[in-house]
Amino acid sequence: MIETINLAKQFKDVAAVKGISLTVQKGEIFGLLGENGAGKTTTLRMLATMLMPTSGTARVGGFDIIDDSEKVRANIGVLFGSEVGLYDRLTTRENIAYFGQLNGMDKSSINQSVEMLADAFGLSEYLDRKAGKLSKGNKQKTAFARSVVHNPDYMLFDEPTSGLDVTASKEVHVFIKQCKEDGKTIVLSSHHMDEVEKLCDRVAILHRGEIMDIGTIPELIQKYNCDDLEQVFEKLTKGA
Amino acid sequence: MMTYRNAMIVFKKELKDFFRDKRTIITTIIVPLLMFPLIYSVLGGQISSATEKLSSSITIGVPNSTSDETISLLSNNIFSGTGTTFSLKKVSDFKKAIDDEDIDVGMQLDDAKVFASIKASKPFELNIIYDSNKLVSGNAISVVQSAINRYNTKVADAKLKALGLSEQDIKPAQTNITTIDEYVVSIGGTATSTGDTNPFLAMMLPLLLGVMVPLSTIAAATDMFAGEKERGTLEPLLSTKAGRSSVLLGKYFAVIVLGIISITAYIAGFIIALAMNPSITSSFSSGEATGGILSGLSISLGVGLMVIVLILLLSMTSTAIQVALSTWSKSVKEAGSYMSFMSIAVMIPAYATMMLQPGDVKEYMMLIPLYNVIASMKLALGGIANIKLYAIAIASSLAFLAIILVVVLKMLKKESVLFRN
Ligand SMILES: Nc1ncnc2c1ncn2[C@@H]1O[C@H](COP(=O)(O)OP(=O)(O)O)[C@@H](O)[C@H]1O
Ligand SMILES: [Mg+2]
Repeated sequence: MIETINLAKQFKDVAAVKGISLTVQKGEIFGLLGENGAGKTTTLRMLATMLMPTSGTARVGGFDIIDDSEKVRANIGVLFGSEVGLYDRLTTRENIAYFGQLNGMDKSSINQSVEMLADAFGLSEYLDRKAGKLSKGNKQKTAFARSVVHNPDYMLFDEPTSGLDVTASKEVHVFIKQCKEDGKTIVLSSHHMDEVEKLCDRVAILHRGEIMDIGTIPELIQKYNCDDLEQVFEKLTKGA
Repeated sequence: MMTYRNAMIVFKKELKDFFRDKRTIITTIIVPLLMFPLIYSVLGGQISSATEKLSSSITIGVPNSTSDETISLLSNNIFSGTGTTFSLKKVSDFKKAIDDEDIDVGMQLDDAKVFASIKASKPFELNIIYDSNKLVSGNAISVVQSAINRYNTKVADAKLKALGLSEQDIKPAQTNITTIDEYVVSIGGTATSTGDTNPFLAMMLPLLLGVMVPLSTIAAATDMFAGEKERGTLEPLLSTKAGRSSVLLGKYFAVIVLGIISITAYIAGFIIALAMNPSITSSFSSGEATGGILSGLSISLGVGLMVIVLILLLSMTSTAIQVALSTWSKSVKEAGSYMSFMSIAVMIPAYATMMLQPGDVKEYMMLIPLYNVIASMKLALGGIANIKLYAIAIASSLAFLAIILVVVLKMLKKESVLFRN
């Protein structure tokens, strides 16, 4: 389970996240839906222990992100959306395997995991090429594979499909759904309505650092008397 | 134990990553290996040809009007009987002859007076003209002068002898010079100096290493910290199970190993350069220059080991500073400007020790980072076995670099450093 308790982050004069509380159950895909600057990345960074909350806290798998940050890191896999940085001089395989090693995996389970992920993301033929030579899409898929190579129980994906074409996005969606089947707890951020509609069990609509509402998609559509999620989103964020 | 394991993973990855780059191999190994041989084959070639010319022959120009009798008198009485072959050559224009390197120095003289005076051992004047901008001409002056001094001594001795006196009668006080160590040993004590002195290396090595060692790690330190941040791989790296301290240590030691590889290449290049130009060290080594090609490099095993320890310490200290600067930087570019500042700053301690004599080193100097290690190198090569000074230098360097690494670790936990944008 992942839960945030009045989680807030203030950057100098910007209140990026204004005390949000939410709970994500095991085996659930939870979506953070919001426009640019809504606070999605900041929230995920706090969950990943990369940023320290200004107030409030969160627990990931029962471990507090402030007091037990090391244990949190031992249980998560994170895709930092805007940061698709790879080691250009290492091969795709070496890039993914490095993170497996750092997360304490042995050689054979790394190999197994790399092959499985390459298969899932259509990266098999690129495994032994230099990451610097990959296309942008393949780089992003490699970064995705790297974030889950150690098969973590908690997965945090910041805009996992931004910049990917339709086929690649589909591969990522299929993979995320499979993770859910395997009992993983997943939080992802997105500004694509259809992605959230397709994937997420529940969604929080985030606007200027605040949660406007949380619920399953049918619940929200019904509650606001709308036709689809997009209308709900408009209603909640544009004050219409 | 976990820290060690993860640090090793980071260390291995960084070395592998670094050596995938051909440019890196060129700048870390090939350029250092070739630098000294190239410098000395240009510069050293000139020096040694000038030195050779000097020791073999010197041409002195005399006015065209000088009579052959005077010339042969000068040649036989003054410019003879030494290791150098002098030739006296008639010229019409001293300036032109020196410019054309027809002669090394010019000599103006009153032909008739010089002839008569040498015959009679009477006073006379020789006016030597030289070009201070020419190495050969400048050096020739001292050789010409010592030939003249020898003539003067010879004449004086003959005159004293005629009077029934010796040189000691007119220069009664005699001096003998003894070093403090020789004195201490002569009265039955033990010397502080190990006797393992190597003036050439004591002069050159601290200066060269003081500059080269810090320079050798700049590229790697910039790449591994600022580069990692700029490429957007630092955040994923820090979000793994591996702690920040293992990431820091793995990278830090990878930078140091690359620096050591580079320094080894510099030293190998330096030895090759000396092997190519043995005359470079000959002016420093006591006595003949013919004691084997690398005689100028001979040091004892103990001093050699001490120098290696000090090189390591110097590298660890300067790398720690570079890692701190690189971690602080937003981008590789920003790190680059800090590093170029640092590469100028490291010249200060290196040059500050250049004129320092081993005996002048004080305890407080051993507290100054970088400087203390370079000064210790000077001491070791100067044959000084002052354990207390070395201990202060080593302890204060280790303390200094530990403090810096702790600061870097703090930085890696600080959001304002991780996300400076
Ligand atoms: N490191 C930072 N320093 C200062 N302000 C930041 C920083 N990161 C994000 N912000 C600000 O916080 C707000 C939320 O940003 P972010 O969490 O990235 O939103 P999103 O991911 O939803 O687009 C924005 O106004 C952004 O400018
Ligand atoms: Mg974002």
